[in-house]
Amino acid sequence: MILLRYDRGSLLIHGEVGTPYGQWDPRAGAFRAMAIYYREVLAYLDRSRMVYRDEAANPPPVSTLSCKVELRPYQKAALDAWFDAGRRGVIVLPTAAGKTFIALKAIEKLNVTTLVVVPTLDLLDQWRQILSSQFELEVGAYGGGDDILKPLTVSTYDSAYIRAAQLGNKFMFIIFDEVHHLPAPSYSQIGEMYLSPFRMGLTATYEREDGGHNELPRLVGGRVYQLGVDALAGSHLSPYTHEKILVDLTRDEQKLYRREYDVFANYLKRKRMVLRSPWDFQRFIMRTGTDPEAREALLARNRALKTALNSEAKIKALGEFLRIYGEEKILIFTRFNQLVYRISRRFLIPAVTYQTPREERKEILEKFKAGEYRAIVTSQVLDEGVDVPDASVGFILGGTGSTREYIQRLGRILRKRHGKQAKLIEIVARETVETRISQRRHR
Amino acid sequence: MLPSSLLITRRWRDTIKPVYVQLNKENLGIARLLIQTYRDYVGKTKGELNGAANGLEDMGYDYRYVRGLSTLLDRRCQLEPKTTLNPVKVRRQIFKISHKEDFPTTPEARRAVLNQIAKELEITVEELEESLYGDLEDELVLKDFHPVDPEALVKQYNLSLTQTLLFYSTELSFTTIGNWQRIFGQIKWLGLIYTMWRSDGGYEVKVDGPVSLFKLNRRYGTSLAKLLPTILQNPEWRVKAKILRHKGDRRLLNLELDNTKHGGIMKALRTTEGKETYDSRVEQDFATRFRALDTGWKMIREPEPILVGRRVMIPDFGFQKGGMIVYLEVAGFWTPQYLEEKTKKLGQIGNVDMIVAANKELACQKLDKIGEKLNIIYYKRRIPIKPILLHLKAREERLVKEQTVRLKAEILPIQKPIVEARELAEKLGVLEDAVKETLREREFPGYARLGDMLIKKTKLKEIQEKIEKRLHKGELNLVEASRIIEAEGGRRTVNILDALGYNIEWHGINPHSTKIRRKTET
Repeated sequence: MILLRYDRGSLLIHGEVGTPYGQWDPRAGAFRAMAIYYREVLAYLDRSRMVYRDEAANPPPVSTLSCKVELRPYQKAALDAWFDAGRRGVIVLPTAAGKTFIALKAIEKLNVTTLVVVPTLDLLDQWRQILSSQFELEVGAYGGGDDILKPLTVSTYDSAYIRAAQLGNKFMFIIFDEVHHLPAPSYSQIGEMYLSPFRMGLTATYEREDGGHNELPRLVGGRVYQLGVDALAGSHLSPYTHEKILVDLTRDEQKLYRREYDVFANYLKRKRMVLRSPWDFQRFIMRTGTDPEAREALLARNRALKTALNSEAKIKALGEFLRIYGEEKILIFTRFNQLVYRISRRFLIPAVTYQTPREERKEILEKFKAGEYRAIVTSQVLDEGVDVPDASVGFILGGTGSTREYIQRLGRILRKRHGKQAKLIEIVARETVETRISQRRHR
Repeated sequence: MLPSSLLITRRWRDTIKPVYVQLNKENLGIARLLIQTYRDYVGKTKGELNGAANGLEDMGYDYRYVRGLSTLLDRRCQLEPKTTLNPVKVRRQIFKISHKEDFPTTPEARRAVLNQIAKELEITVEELEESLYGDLEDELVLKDFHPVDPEALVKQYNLSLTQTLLFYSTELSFTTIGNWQRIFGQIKWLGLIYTMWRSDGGYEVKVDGPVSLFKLNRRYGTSLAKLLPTILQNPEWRVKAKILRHKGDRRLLNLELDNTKHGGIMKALRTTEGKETYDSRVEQDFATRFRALDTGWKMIREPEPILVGRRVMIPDFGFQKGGMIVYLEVAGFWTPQYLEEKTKKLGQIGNVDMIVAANKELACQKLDKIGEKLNIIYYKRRIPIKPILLHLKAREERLVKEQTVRLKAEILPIQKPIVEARELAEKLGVLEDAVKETLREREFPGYARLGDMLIKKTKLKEIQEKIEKRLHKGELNLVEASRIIEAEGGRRTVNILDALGYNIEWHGINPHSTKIRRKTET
């Protein structure tokens, strides 16, 4: 008799029988396999007509699940493609195209215990809310202090990773929201340590700059369906315009900027270093560990950048725009928290950062949704998939050069609403290193 | 543990080591300065404190060291909001008003909003501004700071540095000389897996996790780091770890530490987390009572682990005497499942002499099953000593018999002119009683037996000749006789004199005033 057990993120196969993916583990006196291969191991045992007892999967009992979701044609096509691919794979749709609904329908059809893995606490709340209202049951949660196991459970990537050893055999279906996070070295172990035979990945940006997406076919299944922003803009999403506003630093800021930036530039010149790629920059950063001059140069560059990003001129420009777009719903993005709080104090606009208490953040987002608040200023926490509908104007007062971030931010204000023209306004300090970062964003 | 950006390491070929801070004047100086700064800033905001602490980073030290110390000191701070108002509520009120009409984009409009709310709350506008974001960390006030001595801080820093490097470890192995139970308890609690083997006289334990089998895995690094302080609590330890420093790196680096080189420079400040959860009063009470008795048995708390197949078991006590060891396991607090597992384990041991003390009130009936081989003692509140002593005594007698049988058949290393039972027992690693018994029952050609001592007959003759010679010159007392015998390498003067046919005539208690005479003379 062969006995299959789950042991903290892996499968133990007792009974002296080798299976595909199984490796002899002398510490346990049994064959051990990664939990991800649960489906393959079972299939092998069935195929070989071997008698076995499966004590590996231990999902809590689940009642009949039904929801009232109606899928749009492209959503239905995506779901069909996923089923055809063996109930595994990644669906790529732009933000606001209703990926959540596809997942809900999949849960209803499979009717098994399901774990939804999300990158942020905001998304955690959001998924919990929609799952409990759609299926009319209590939804479990891991992350942000919660510790509740239910047939339908939502978890952050962090908690899913940390708790993998305990949770890995509880869910037959696992959904990775914003699945481009999964290929990180630690998070990819979520894919490996959970035995869930059914897997779905959702994202607007499949590709990763580090090539990590090549891991996705193994961890979740390959890309089974994709639609770009352009295919949906205008029909299912709002059309949008994009403007870039260049502002001059104040005279004092200019002086400060030049002085600091020159320290950095002179250092590079002296050392004959050219920073062309992120890799060059990485090498420069490494030097700062051993070379005090390099460190001083880096600090000077950061101070210069801060001057540009936090410029009073930009805040003034923002004030002008707030007067113009006062009636619209506005999201303001900055790179540093410091600027978030300056803007919040100056214009008395609610701020959302990682320091905002969770309850307050929820309240702010809800009031924004309800129209009670018309603006939010934030650094980066809203970047992904947070459901902030109806925002029609977005300001970018600084960010990183990453393309993904840009698309995600764009997505923030692209919620479909009849007759709405969305606007994205970037306020950039003229003739500073920031101009270049902004260009990189649009590559 | 520190943020990884503050980790300083040095690589050399395939080894890696944290760059430890030596406990010299300069390094302790900056630590003292920093501690003083924290102390001085009690009553000020965290933002101001951070500013002052950052200022110390530019004094020629590695900023990562200074910042690392600050990180440790931050944990000794008690922060508290300046304002008594609830900032969340204050903000709610402000945003409610500010969103009623156009955004207050001019200073005047802003002032108007704040004035209105300040009036409602009956505070000044300044107080309102202060409480607006009074809950941000930088705005919090340092209420209290628990100071620490600079040396202890630097030692803790070195330990944290090591732990931070261990975050990148794929496996860790160690040897120690004690607190096995704590360590193995922690290994289990942290969900790790051990492999153990004997190595130069002790045990070496390798620790990693279930999925380490498949590929290099840093998943358990944090758990392995948590194990370190417990291991370091021993006076002697050695730790080795495999480090995978960078994602892309396919090369494993070795970290090796031991108490002789690194024991003096790092130390945990507080006792570690995950302290013993079980109630050890029962064991403590037993140990005290046992030690008070003179049993001739050496009692060891947490003896070396016993390897049982692939698994390890650490009994609570070991009793040692003459090369034998008897174990005592207190099973009072185990859950039924754990007990079942334990009985299985005990059943496999076989050649290990183990007493199990089981708490009657916790109904450990399962233990009956292995009652044949292993002695079980039931107790209610205290572990009784008498049955344990009886067991030890019976064990000793059994062993004496076994050893006697063996010794009688063996060739014994008897070459010296004088051989004592105690010495011989030590040499052979057997019980003294077994040797005594053997000496009594066996003939050793060329030797005479004097009580528990064997002496060469030729040696006896030599001694006798010396004494006779001396007696010719005049009277001989016991002190002098001893000197003569000891000069010949003899011991136990009285026994030898008796065997040679001399009597000792006592006149009072002073050995100087004794007279040695031939037995025939009296």
